[in-house]
Amino acid sequence: MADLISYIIRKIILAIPVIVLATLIVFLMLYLTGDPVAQLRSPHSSVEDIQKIREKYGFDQPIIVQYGRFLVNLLRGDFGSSVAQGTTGTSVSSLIVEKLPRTLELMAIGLTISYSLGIPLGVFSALRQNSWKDRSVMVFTLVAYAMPAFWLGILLMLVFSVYLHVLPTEGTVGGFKSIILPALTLGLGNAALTTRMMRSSMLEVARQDYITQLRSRGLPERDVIFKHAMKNAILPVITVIGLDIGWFVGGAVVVETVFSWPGIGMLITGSITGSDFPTVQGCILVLAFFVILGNLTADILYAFADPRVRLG
Amino acid sequence: MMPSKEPVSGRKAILDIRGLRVQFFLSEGTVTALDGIDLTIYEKETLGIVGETGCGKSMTAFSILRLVPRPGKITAGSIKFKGHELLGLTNDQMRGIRGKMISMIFQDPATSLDPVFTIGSQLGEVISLHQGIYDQAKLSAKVLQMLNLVKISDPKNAMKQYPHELSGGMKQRVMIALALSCSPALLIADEPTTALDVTIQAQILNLLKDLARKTGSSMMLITHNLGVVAETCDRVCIMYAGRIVEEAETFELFARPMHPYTMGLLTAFPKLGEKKEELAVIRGTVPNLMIPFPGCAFVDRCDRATDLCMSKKPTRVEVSPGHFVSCHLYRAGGEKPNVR
Amino acid sequence: MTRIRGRLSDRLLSWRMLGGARQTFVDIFTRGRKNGMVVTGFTVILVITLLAVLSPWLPIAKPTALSPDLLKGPSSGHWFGTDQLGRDVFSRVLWGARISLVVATLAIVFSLLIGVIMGLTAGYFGGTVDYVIAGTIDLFWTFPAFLLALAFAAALGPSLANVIIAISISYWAGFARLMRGQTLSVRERLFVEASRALGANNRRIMFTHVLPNCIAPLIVWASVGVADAITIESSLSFLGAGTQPPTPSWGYMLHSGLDAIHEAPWISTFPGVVLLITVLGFNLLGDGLRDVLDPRMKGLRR
Repeated sequence: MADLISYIIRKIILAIPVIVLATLIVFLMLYLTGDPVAQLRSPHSSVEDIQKIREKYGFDQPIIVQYGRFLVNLLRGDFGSSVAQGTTGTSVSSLIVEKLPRTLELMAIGLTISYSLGIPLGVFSALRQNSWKDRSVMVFTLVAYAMPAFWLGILLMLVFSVYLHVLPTEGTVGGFKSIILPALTLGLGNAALTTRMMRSSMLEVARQDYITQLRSRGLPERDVIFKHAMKNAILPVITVIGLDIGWFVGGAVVVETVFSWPGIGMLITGSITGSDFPTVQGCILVLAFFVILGNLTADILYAFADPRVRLG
Repeated sequence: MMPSKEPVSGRKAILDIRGLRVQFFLSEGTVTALDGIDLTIYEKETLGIVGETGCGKSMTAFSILRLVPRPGKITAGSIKFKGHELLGLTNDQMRGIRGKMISMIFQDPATSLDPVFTIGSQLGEVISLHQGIYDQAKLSAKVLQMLNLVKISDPKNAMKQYPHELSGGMKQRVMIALALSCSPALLIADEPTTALDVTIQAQILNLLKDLARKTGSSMMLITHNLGVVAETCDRVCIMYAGRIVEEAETFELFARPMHPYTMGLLTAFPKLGEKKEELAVIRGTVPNLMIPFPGCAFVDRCDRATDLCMSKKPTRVEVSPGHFVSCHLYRAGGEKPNVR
Repeated sequence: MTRIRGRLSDRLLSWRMLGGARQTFVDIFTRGRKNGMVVTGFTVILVITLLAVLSPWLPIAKPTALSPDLLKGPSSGHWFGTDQLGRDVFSRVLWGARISLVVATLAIVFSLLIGVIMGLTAGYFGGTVDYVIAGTIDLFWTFPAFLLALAFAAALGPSLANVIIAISISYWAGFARLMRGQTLSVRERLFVEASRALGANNRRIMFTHVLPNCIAPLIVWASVGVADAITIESSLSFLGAGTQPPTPSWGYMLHSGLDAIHEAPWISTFPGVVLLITVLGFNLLGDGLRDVLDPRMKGLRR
């Protein structure tokens, strides 16, 4: 137990410089196009507004100081103000707080769909290796994996909304009906990946000596597969959860746009087209934070599952 | 330290293998891993199986437990355990035998234990499965008892540990505990000390011998090390290219080896105190088991091969009581005269 | 005497390097031809590339040509129908292929270069240099490439060139990991190997041993990478952060088709299908090549 706790603490400490690095990169993004003020001001600011911006961010001061102020502002929850047409002056953080829960619920359902579909399907496929059932699962996952998320969303929309009139096209209707399509889009794409990983992991585990050993002890096949093999096979899948969450965050941005789902994704897209840089910056930062958090959770989860890694 | 023995006759056979053939069906061709094996193990004895890597020793062991890996299949023969034909049993029936009446110790302890379960839980799993003990307290007591039996220091702590936290020697002791937990009639040990440090090998071998004697189990000890055979086995079988070429009591085999391969093995094995310029080797290499050959498998490497050896497969003959050879140089009762 | 020795060993080493790489290409041609995935993937890519390259000369409408046939479904005149401005969807799809292929290939080539340089540097120098680079690689590796590309594209402004840059900066980590791993393992072996006794240059040994072994996984990774890059580019264009109208990129077409999804579903469908086929093609090629070039995959059962 003690080694588990020290492992968790180590991982948390390691995550902090990553977060700091992310803030640095986001901060530097401001300078990518040369004049940072151009990014931060709205298209119709007056000269005084521009001067105010200069003062607020201290653009005449050395970069380190600016970065320092940036960090301090972040810690205070101040992400700047939006410069978009409809929301000029609104604090970015309030916009984010408003939209974040919708994205989180979308991701949560998507994750659930992905793993509850992917893991059993992967095991099923591995147990019937090279049969026609296995091959069709492989083909299906290949196609689902290759399909860009937004295209899958449009396809599902076509099928269920346009032709079957079963579900709404827009996510603003509310309730279960409106969340199911976007969540399904997110979930199916990653389910394909999970299935393939789980399948190849099961096949790899099945070749191991200890599996034959377990059989030689007289264990029923059901125990060998579902108790021992699965527990070992699921480890690589857990390792990848961190990358999966990253994929989900990126996918959410796209899927929200397809279905007009009012979350962070829509916010970012709207801000990009509306040249509302402060909002873009804030959103990226929040998304980055969730990616890092996701990776951390995945690492900790993995330590619970695989005792060998705690010594590390 | 050769064990003195009474004659073999008069004892019951625990395991009787006749004409066992195992083949692997690959896309490149068919490999005949075992080509008609005849083997008998009696009660309370230790039989050694000796041969080079790839000669089929492990495959014999897997066949007994019917765990031959795909794409291999048992294509001919019979395996009788205590008089019952194993090859006709259903999988469920085999499971009742595995781990309980016949158990096996694998070669590399590092890869033979499930890495994500503790030692205690793996031992408990086998015990509760075969002995029907489900009460946690009783189970833990039995597990501790087994760990003590294999002389693991601090068994209470070891129970809670994972395989990767143990040394190679300790892992092998756990394997022995697992195999002997239900006092099987036959214990198969596949190169149990090959993967261990030399210093530990003797300890483990002695432990195996002691425990087998205590539980009254017969043991089939697979090894490529003649020294181990000399120390531990009552009788020996020499295997080559999927066939058994010679079988005798240990002392008899070392004193009067008959098959050219056996003789080659014995001379190749350096003896302590002997001065030699070069290590003796048996020339040539193991034949390709994918290409069927009608004659003796050893013919390319044998100094005394004849034309008969190229064309006809030798049959098993009893040259002297309890001493069997498969070689054209011999007939029942002794060496053939004028073999040239 | 040592000078002659040195030259001989140099020759031997460069021969070995070519040999190692040559074996990979030989394998690709001989065994690849027999692998279904490789053949399918390659054919798909070939067809699409040809159509894309030849599109300016094909007898189809110009992609930006307006016509009075607004929102007409697929017909003999317009195989894929027309969009809201009367433009021919079929030709826009073909021209879109040009954009996607060019962007994706360039982006992956740059990614590869960055990754290989970073990986080699990290492995060669070791120590602190390796520590810093490895940390950076890890950071970029765990972060989703799409989000990174989105961030950079947003910061740089939407344009074709910026999309290429954005993807290049986001995707290099995979290549770097590969190179670093390989370089480190060769470096370890070097201290034991006798080739040092030949007196050949340390750096030369590193490159001649490392690069040829890497060609196989790099090719596999690059093929899958192009698939990923096409997906990222079209996603960015879909969101409005990539190519801008009137450039006929697939992502943009899918976006504009979204508004008319009920009345004219073909505006989104056809680009989507072709996009899917192209991505599949590259994925199949990559997977197939991995099977072909991975030495563990031989001798399968009947």
